[in-house]
Amino acid sequence: MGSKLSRRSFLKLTGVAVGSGLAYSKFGGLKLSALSPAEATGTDDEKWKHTACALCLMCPMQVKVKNGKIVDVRGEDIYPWKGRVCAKAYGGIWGRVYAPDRIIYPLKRVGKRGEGKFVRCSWDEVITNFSKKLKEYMDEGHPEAFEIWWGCPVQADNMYFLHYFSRIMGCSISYMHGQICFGDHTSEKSVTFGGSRAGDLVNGTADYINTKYAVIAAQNFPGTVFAPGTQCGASAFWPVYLKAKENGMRHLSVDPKLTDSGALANEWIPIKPGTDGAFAYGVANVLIKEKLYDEDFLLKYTNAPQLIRVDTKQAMKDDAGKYLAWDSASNSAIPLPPADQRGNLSLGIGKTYTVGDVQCKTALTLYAEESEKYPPEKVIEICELPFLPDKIVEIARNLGNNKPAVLFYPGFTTGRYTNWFQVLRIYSCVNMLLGNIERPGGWYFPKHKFNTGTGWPEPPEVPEYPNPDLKVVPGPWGNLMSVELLDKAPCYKEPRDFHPATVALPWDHFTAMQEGKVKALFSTAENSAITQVNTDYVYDCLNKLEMIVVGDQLPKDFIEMADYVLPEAAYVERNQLFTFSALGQDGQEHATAIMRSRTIELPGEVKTVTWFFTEVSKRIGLGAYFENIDTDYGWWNKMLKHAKLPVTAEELVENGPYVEKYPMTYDVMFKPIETRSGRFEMYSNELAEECYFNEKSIWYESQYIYPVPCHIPIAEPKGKDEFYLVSGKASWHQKSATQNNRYLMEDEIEGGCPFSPLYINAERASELGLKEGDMVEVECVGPTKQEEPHVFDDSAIGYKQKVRVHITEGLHPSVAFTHFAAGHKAKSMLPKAREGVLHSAFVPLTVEPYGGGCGKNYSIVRLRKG
Amino acid sequence: MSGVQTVWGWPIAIYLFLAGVAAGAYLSAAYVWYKRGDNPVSRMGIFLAAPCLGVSILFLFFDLGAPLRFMLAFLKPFSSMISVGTWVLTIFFIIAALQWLKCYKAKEASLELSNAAWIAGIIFAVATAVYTGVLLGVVKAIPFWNTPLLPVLFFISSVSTGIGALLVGVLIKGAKDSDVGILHSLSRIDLVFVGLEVLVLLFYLLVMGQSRLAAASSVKMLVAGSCAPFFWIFVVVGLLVPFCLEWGLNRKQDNQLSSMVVSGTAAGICLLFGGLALRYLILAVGIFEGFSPIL
Amino acid sequence: MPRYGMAVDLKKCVRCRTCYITCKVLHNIPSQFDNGRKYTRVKLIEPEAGKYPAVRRFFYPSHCMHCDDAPCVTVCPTGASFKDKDGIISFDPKKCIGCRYCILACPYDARYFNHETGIVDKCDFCEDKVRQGKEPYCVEKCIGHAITFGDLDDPNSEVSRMITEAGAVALSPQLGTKPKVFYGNMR
Repeated sequence: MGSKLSRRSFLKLTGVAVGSGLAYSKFGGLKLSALSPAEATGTDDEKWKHTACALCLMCPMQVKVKNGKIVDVRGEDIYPWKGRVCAKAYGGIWGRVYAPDRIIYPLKRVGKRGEGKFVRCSWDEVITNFSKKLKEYMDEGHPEAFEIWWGCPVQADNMYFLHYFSRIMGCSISYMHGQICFGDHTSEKSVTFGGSRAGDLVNGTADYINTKYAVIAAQNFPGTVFAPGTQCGASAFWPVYLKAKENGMRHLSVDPKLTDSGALANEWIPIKPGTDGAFAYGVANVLIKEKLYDEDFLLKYTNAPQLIRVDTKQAMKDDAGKYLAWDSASNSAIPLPPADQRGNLSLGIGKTYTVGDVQCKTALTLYAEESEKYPPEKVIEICELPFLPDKIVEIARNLGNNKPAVLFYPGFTTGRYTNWFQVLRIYSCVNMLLGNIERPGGWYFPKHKFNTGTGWPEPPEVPEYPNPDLKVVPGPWGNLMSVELLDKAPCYKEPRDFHPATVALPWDHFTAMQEGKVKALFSTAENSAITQVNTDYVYDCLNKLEMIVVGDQLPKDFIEMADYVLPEAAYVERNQLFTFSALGQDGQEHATAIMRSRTIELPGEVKTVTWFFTEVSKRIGLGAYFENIDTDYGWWNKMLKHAKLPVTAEELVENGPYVEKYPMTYDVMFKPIETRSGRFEMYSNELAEECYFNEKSIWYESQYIYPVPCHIPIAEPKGKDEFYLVSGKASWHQKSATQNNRYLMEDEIEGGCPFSPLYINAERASELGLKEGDMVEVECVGPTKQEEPHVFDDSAIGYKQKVRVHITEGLHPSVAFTHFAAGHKAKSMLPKAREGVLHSAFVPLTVEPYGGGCGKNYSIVRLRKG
Repeated sequence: MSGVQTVWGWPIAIYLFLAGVAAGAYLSAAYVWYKRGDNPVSRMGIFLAAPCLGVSILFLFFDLGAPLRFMLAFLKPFSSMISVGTWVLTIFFIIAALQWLKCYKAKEASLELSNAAWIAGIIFAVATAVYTGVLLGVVKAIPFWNTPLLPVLFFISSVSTGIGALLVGVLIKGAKDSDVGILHSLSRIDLVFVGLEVLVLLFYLLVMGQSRLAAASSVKMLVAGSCAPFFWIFVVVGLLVPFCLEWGLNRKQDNQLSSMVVSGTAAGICLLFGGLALRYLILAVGIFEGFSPIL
Repeated sequence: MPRYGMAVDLKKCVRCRTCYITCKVLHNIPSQFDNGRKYTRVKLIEPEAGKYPAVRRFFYPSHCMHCDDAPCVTVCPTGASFKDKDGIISFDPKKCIGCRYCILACPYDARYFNHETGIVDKCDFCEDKVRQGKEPYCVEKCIGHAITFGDLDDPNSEVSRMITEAGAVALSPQLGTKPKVFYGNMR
């Protein structure tokens, strides 16, 4: 005993011997035994069952179950899947559900945290000790000393239940992952377009099959996307993308890397990281100069005509406090009319109007003036684009001439530097210029969404909720939610520090852990120990906790930090309802309800998280709130009923998806615009009033939230041996669920590269004397607190790791790139997952003003050979 | 695929080498028998051929993934070069083994071997030696192998290694003065064969070096790439040294047993090393002609 | 008797790698992490061409080409590799002695040697499925419907039309093995 946890010993602990059957056969490829053991033996009990994937999002799929084992997988026969799902769906079943290193018994840590020494223990021991801690905090009057971190709505076992538990117990709950993913983007879209449109715009929901020209930044588009109108992955988008291509869509990929999927684009625009704002302004510059903007759209739906004072740059208001615009008929300022009314408003580009004795310009003029700083030749220089300035002109003209059937999308999971909120704002304004919202071929909002609510049991079903002052607040979109406690308080104070649509404020959690205010943690459906940036700091925080409990199916870094490990039911071993309104390749809206269902029996002592928390609730005196809850069907039936759908969860499990089909209808005003001006905001009144001109705001006079978007340079690599370290996803690698997957991590998947590499541009590599496969030491050197005002913690500086380089022509020279599934710390993970660089460990924790993004890619590193 | 083959390695090199030694030793024995009738040198050849071939076949056998199914290779004699080889080697082995048995039983008595057996044996020995080259020579996917020069080269090398084995065998076992003459004539013959081997190898490498991409890469890998150190050791130790030793033996014409023991044994060992190295190197630098990735 | 062939329309290939994974898991081919060896019937070929920034990355799945003049069949000593009546280059694992001559003979690197079973393995067009009237897994599962399978002798079959109308061609036909897998719209 006492030896470090090797893979083999971990396998023993998890109770499954390698090759102990399941779908494995050591006679792989031999036709004699080409049948899986399930097929080779027993009776002919075979059925296709309806469920959903979870490897990236939740594509509806069917699994063929024979004698209790899954033997085949296919997509549901609904749009856009039409029977097909991608590689991850297969990798998920055989590389996760049936993996030989699947965790099937509760484990108890016996070594130090991170050392990876565990022994098998009983469920009773976990529940008893965990409940004791929770009770202790409750008795001390600090239930919030316990936190639930959940990472993914589709991987998590009933996030509604988890929030309900947290509401009843009064503990904190946080969607930690959201803020390193799309949190700042959701905030920006809410600020610019209003909350009810934010989710779809963040997702990139558009009428792709009618799009003529799409400029899309980053995110390995189309391989790593939300399919339009769904919360589903690329399996649902590829068919749409192919249809769009067939219909003539031209796709430009703006990305430092020629990604695996970006290689499908018609053109690759390699851009220097963090300069996207300048690029977008360059496009705006040409659009405005060449009058390629949509005047009607700007006048009707945006606050482009809103008058802004020249002296203070604040909104001009009348005595009643209303925003003003210039009426060219009466030649006077009038209150900015509601959206949809164009009247005789004037865009007044370049003009100055006098209102009373105050000089004003329109919001569009301010935007245009800012864009003048970015003529094409300047953009080429700032963005280090390997093109002539004409390229920017060409892109802008293609957009302008094909509008409104065009898209200008900053990506969903994009760069996230501290300037990103403004980058997103600049992008949004370009889309306003193009008038491509709710137009054929432009951005589109599905009109038929099922409103399912949360399915919470309510009194008199359960006793009155305790802690009456605990407020549940809406999450960024969909049915996400938060409990307004430690997590969201800064978003609801006066004035707000962060927009409420930020998903989580991770740094606050870390501080609370440092200060001893958070003492215990439960984590599911994520690997936050290493997906949060600044890993050393995160580990330092985690090490201060009294108790960590982590659930999952496979080993990961967070598990090795845990005191107890829960063998969690996999996604095809439990029930969950999903609804969405997909835009199909047939040009229709498909309002859909599906059930993830238990298709196979739970192996070993595997249980669902809801079962675990129900047991815990009994031990902490909250049993009355959780008894008689049926998380298999009852919970979901309640949500179906809330949405007034004529199906039951049982029917969805038995018969498959419920779909309502609608033709697409284009209507900008299908919902009121929930911004301060009631229009899409080029000049953000919210940022002006809440932050920039508000002396009480922590962001007072910060250009990072200046109401007219501006490009702010970020810290840069300096030396010959310095690079931006950028991480990204691949179409086969989406999140923690695809890591440690013995099929998705095979060398052959990534072009046969036999190691987890750091990609480097060929010319830079030759300058540094690096050859393919050479070992380099990577050291984090920035951004430092001197270079970047919003560094919250810089523990990452000086972090070093060794990695072999893979040389490519398909990468911007300023960038060193790694897929995010590398360099893991956990000894029980696959050897290949432990190779390479752990990207998050090289990223100092920065906090983006108001949007709260954590600079997921904001890292500067130095490379040394050897 | 464009890449170096790793499918066949050392065991196959040894297999090809020992089959060649067996064939060469047998042919040398036949020559000596033809010249002098029953004598120790000829007997040494018979004594070496069958065991070498037997060990060779064992190497092939244990290199198979499913050796127990070996018999299947006999069922379709003309379907593949391997099946042809299986039959050729088997028949040669039977002939050589029968002669070996007679030789073993004869002990001090005089040995009677029928001409028919000799003729059959010679035919199958030549076939075996040539076959080792043809086995590789028909592989179109590896252009460096895909040439009639390879069977020629392997045949020459087989004879040479066979003579080498005879020299070593006879000299170690203890040669008599009466054997020196025939050993001399064998070494003279080998001088010609080593010379031929050098010329054929040179020609082979020149032709391949100017041919298609993959074959040219093979040559490059051999003479200047990762296999170059071993290749040049082979050229010096496996070809030049025995050539010089045998040259020396022939120039002196002293017919002294002592110098034959020293030089002959050394030359024989070098020849054997060279034969094995040649086969290993040719296998090791087999590079597939990649199919074009871009249309 | 049909003469089966396959065509891949690379315009519809989204590089999702589903063909690779499905082939592996549904044929029970061990993962690289099970035994440290890279067994696969399908290879994903992804070469980069050109210099930054004018660089393109090609992509196509490659497996047994089921050549009409299949060198693997010629070199097989036992008849384990053989050409079936319907043109499929079939493989009988019970006859394989593991000599690996076929691996050397195949110019398309379509075969691998399974060290655990001691025999060779390769794509057989999922012949068990095909003979039940179904499609091979990679065809059935392809996200982009990029792979078509059918009778090359039937000029109206989808696969024939991919060749005649969409101009799908064999890889490196100069190797002279007459492959029956064709690729269209390489990019």
